[in-house]
Amino acid sequence: MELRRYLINRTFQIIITFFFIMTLLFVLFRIAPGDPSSMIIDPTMKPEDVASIRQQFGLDRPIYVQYLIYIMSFFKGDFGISFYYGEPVLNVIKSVLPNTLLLFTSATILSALAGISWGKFAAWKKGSVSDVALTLTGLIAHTLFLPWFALIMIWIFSYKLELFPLNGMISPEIWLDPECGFWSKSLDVLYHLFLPLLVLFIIHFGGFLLVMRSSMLEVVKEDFILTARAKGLTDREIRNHHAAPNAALPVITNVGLSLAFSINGGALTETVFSWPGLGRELVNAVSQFDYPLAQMSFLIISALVLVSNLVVDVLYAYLDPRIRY
Amino acid sequence: MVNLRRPALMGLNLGLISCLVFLSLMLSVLISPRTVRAASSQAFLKVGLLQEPKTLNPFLASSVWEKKVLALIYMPLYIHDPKTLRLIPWLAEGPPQYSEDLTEVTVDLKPARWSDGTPFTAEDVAFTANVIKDFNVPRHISDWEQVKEITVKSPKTIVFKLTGPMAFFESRALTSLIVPKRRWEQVVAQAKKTDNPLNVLTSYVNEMPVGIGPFKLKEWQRGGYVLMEKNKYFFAAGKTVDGIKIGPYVENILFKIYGTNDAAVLAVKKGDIDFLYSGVHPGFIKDLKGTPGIKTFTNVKDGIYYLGFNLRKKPFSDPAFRQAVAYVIDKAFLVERVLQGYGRRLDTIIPPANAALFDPNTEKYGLGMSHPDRIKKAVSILEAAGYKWKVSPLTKDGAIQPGEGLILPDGTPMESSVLLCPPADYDASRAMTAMIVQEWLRNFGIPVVSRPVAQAAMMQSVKTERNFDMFVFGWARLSFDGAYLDNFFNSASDRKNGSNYCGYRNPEFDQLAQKASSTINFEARREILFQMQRMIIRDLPYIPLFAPDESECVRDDRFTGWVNMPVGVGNTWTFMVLRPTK
Repeated sequence: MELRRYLINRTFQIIITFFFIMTLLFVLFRIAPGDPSSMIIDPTMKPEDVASIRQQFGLDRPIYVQYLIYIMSFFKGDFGISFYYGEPVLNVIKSVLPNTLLLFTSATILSALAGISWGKFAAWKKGSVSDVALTLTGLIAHTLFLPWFALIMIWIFSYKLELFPLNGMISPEIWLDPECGFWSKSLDVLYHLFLPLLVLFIIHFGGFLLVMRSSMLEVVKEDFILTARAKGLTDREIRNHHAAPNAALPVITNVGLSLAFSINGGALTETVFSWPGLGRELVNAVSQFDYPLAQMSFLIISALVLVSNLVVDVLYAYLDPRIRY
Repeated sequence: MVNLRRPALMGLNLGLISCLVFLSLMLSVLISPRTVRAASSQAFLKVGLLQEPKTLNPFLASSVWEKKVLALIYMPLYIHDPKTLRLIPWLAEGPPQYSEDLTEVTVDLKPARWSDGTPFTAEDVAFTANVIKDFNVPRHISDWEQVKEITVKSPKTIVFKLTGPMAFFESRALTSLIVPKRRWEQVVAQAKKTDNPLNVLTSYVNEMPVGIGPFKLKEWQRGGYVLMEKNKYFFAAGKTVDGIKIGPYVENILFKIYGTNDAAVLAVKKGDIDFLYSGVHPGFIKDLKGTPGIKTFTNVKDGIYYLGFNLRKKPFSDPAFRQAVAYVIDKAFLVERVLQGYGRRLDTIIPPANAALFDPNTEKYGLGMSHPDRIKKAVSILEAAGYKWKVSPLTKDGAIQPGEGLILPDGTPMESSVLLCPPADYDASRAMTAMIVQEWLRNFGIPVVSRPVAQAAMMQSVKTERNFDMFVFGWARLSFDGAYLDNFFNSASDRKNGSNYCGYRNPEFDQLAQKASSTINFEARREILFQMQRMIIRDLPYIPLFAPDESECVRDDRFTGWVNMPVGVGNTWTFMVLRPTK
């Protein structure tokens, strides 16, 4: 009963927050200097052309009218037409979202799995050579500058060793070859996925490792670990069944939010690897003042973060009996 | 002790699982390298783009990337000759014929077919022009605004009635791309029925364009590639134009997308692409020149970089102040340091790439003068105009020293001013130029701070609000007709969102601009444009700084026949005459 009331309250809060975010996004984009016409720098353009562009996109109307249209259209399921693609925003997002999910969600899950496992191991062997090596690797990986690291990886693995493609998500030559079927095309995507996935894995696993390690170090000092030892349980049982599940709680929050944020991809990663994802679209949309596309992309991210927060909270209660709502 | 509900998960070696995933991924890739790499030898001309085209709707297309693809699909009536840059008939049959009063232009059309096999007629030309005029299509309307009426005299003859004699009619309207009426008339009719017809027209998704150029779209895999194939109905195939036998000789062009210039250059070196349809950073040139199979082309870019003043404010409104600044700036230093030697100093506002209209005889402030001589000259100009300093840049015995506190002729000290420029990640050369100019001006006693701001914020200040002091800006891909001089400096363009950013107002210049736009004879018009250039360089609303070089790289071991125009090898001619080497 209590959980149900909690869920209803949180859902209500989420709706209010979402509405607030919608408004904030609308305001933020409008108060930024410039509009879609300011990015078209053409010596032949006259003030009348600028006025025509503003009219075309409905930006000549009073701001409150634009806001009302934005809100009403949203609730009618009309998310607008991208100024630059000339296509419905949903079509643009649908065409790039799966690519982002494939790369970033896989990277988040894999790096979380490795980070949790290796963090657990490092904390358990505190002070050992393995602990020092893992912690140091985690720290270095966590602080690497992604674009530089990605370019170095491309230089070594793609250019010098010619093991992987330079960039992109597919090889046009494969996709255009009528003899190449589903298997070849899937393999081709994996071939392109490997290097960006590896880079993201290396960049992200360190964060999870460090959080898990420090959380584990706190947990192993608890009385129930001593009790477990007194009961004669094996080291492995204590580590995996008593210490790690408790220590993993902060990491779960981390993973939940990372998964939600993985939808916006990483503009830098997507740019360096020419990965056709939402992150790059988002940056382009913002820099080109493509309001409908930018607003919708941010709204999807916001909605996911809000929902994943709720899921993590509920998961907490499920995993840890001490937490009750 | 806390009894958690999913202890089993923690018992698994999660790190091992993720490593296994990576290993299996790698294994699956490595065991089948043949499948993945075999097809790369297919006979396409592979061209790298730094951004994917966003649309193939010619009425919406705005970025260079869309235009590069569209330029192979849609064609104009006249195009630029690759050697002389003069306009030559393309879809038109012969030069335009003018009436006696020069207000009526008749153009005969060549027999040609669209890529769907339907004939190209004067109706298509009239339709395209009328759509642009009726819908007031931004970016296109300025090309057609001087056309009052369009009459189709026969399927192969069209007559344009102009508002008056118009010199730029040929280089604007007659070089516009033409769309097929049959394909677009329904879209236009539907758009006209709506509240926002322009938005409906530009929102039309032109999935499989019907064009008239050497290539047509075969497949567009969003996020992956754009594949073009030879248009079997291409009207110029096999013909000889200006001594060039036109193909196309390649069956397919494959446009591949690269997110960064670095990755694209590596792709050329590796042989993944045959041509990068974009300039290459000077840092790569030396390395590329030493790579077998790669050829580089370097041309002066058809663009200008300049320092602009807001002539609506003091002391920027004073020509003496602007001339003094022109002497303080060392253009050779900027070319050497900012462009690493890849460019040339500029002393006029038409770039040297436009050889026909570039005036080499404008005044060259400070050319060949030493640093002390330039500073002495600048000081003498300002002193003659009544300026003083708290600390003069010249000591009493004529040596150079850091100046301080410029005092205006009315006795008030000059307030601190702002030099706007884009941030280094947007345009490193402009950001660096602004910083260097700031130091020179400060040493001369002019209080100035260079401020990098986002491009949109800069345009808001310069183009819309007009509340700036100075700015470093650049223009690229300027038209070869020089018509932009009128837009940049005509008093009528000095209004909100107009192109006369500086607020230059000179009735004498306006008259010349008017005369140039109505002088059909090219030689006579060139003389007027020369006068306009000299006037601007005398008055200096802009101080031209430099014209950078643009280098391009191609695989000449795979394709031969690259046509190097003053705008570079990335041009329609190249794609029409390029041949595989084997």
